[in-house]
Amino acid sequence: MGPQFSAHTREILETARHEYPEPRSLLILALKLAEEEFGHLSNEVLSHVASELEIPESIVAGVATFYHNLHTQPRGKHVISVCRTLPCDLAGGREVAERFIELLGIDFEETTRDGLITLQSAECLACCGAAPAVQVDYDYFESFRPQQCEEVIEALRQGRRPPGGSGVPGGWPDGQEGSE
Amino acid sequence: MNAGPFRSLGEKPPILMTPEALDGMLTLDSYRSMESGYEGLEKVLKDKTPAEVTDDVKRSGLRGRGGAGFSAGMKWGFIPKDAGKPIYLVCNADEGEPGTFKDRWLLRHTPHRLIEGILIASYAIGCNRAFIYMREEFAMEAIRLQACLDEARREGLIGADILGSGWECETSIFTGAGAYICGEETALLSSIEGRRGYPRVRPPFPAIIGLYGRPTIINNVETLSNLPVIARKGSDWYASYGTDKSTGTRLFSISGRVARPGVYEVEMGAPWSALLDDLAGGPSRNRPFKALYPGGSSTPMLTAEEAEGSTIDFESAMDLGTFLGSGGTIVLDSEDDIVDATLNVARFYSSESCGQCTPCREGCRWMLQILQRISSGNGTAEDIDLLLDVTDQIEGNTICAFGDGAVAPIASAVVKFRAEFEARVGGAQP
Repeated sequence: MGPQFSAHTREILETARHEYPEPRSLLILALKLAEEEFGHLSNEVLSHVASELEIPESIVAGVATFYHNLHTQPRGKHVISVCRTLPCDLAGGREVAERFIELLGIDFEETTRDGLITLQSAECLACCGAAPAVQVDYDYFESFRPQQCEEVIEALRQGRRPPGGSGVPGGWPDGQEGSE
Repeated sequence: MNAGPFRSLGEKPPILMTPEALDGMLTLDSYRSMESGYEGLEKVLKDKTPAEVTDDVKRSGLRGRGGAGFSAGMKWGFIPKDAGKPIYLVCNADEGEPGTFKDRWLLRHTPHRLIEGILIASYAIGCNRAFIYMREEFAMEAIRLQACLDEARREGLIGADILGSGWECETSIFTGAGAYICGEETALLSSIEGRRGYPRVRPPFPAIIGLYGRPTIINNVETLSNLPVIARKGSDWYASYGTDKSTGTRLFSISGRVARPGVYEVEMGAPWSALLDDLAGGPSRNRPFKALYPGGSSTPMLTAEEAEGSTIDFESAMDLGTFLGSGGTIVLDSEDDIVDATLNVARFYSSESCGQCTPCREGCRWMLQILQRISSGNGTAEDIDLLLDVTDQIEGNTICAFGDGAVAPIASAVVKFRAEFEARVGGAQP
């Protein structure tokens, strides 16, 4: 038996179903939930989503491969996104990227061998007024300096929330809600 | 990040970045007490027909703040009178244009004002179901906005029989999954419908056939955020700001080589120096400005001299062959390399082309490859004209404006700073 949505995921989808006139509007949400639950969107997972929503597999696969934040390959537990767009580049984003690449020993869109961190190239994060911007999972880090790279990686390796970010609620154990 | 100061032509106060907004009006109570929140909605529900609200917004001169600058009231007016139900409103909160971060500011500081704007627009167009399409990266903004939506629903401002008027409207957030193109209004509709974010051929325009095949209006966060004050103070009051054809104020997010990058509110018709020097503090590195993208990287570049002699309004931008776009100004100074900046911009468009139209999908990649050659010193003199030739092949040959947007910063850079490109080809390094 292949992957099956948990009762919790089904419940979220069932609630959301009432929000849209057509169930296909649930597809992106379902794919996100599937990725959360199964790690990445393998062919088996895509088939399951297709049958759950009664949407053709080809459409599901087409959507899964279109959006940057949906992934058909395994990813690290944490994702470090470095904005590479012009305002961040002007403010030193390139040096930040180079430092992460050096410290992690991986290139953009790659994952460390221990499966902990994926380094991702991000497009404009709408944070150009405090460039360069880095996002670690959902936390924004403004005016990021190359010297902070080590600290961020070290925190993630120790299972701590990296300091100095926007502290989006959720995703981290209590007491690590950040500063905002 | 800096935010807040306002540059008007006279002694007028700011419209959006009020002192109260800078403090943050995150709760319904604070929005009500500090800014008479939801009184505009109450007024239109009580005193005006939907058609009267649309006429008011037309008279206010409010034009779209997402990029195209089209009259908001006229856009609403395109919904057929005999359309029937349902009619949809979508708030475009998929801000992603390089250099643009003003909607994020509004989402963070004045979420209730946005909700009130969505409700007023919904009432005007006969919509009972509104969506807010928000990019996934705005996780904090989504949490705040959701809290405000919940609060508004508890207070009878969303749902059935709003403020006892008998009118009902539901609204909720739809979260994207990472695609710049979904900020394009028809791609955004495709995305809500659970498809790839491919733009659609127009006509038919979304006001005729939009979301789920029904009449739909898509408005930007800033456009909608202006509606409550127009409802409260009237269209004449709003139109007293700005110029004849470019009324009101607009938010600019400014980045690059300025001393105080940030979000600022500028009255339409103000000189560019008001934004560049007075508000953003002039050059950050003590070197003169060289060029700028006035309204995000999809708008044709201006030389510093062009900008300095001009004013901030739709018509003056057009006279210079550019646009105010999404108000995301990126400034370069004399030390910045135009070729490298252009390469960065080309990389963005090559990465974000949705791939639907061949000229854009292939052309953006070709522009990137040519610019990589030129930038690395491996280009030839012919490459410069080849680059311009490719821009010609893309422009006007695609379903949506992305292709033109990709071409604009590249072609304008080559035309205005050709000497820098020529110095780079044939092995010459700067």
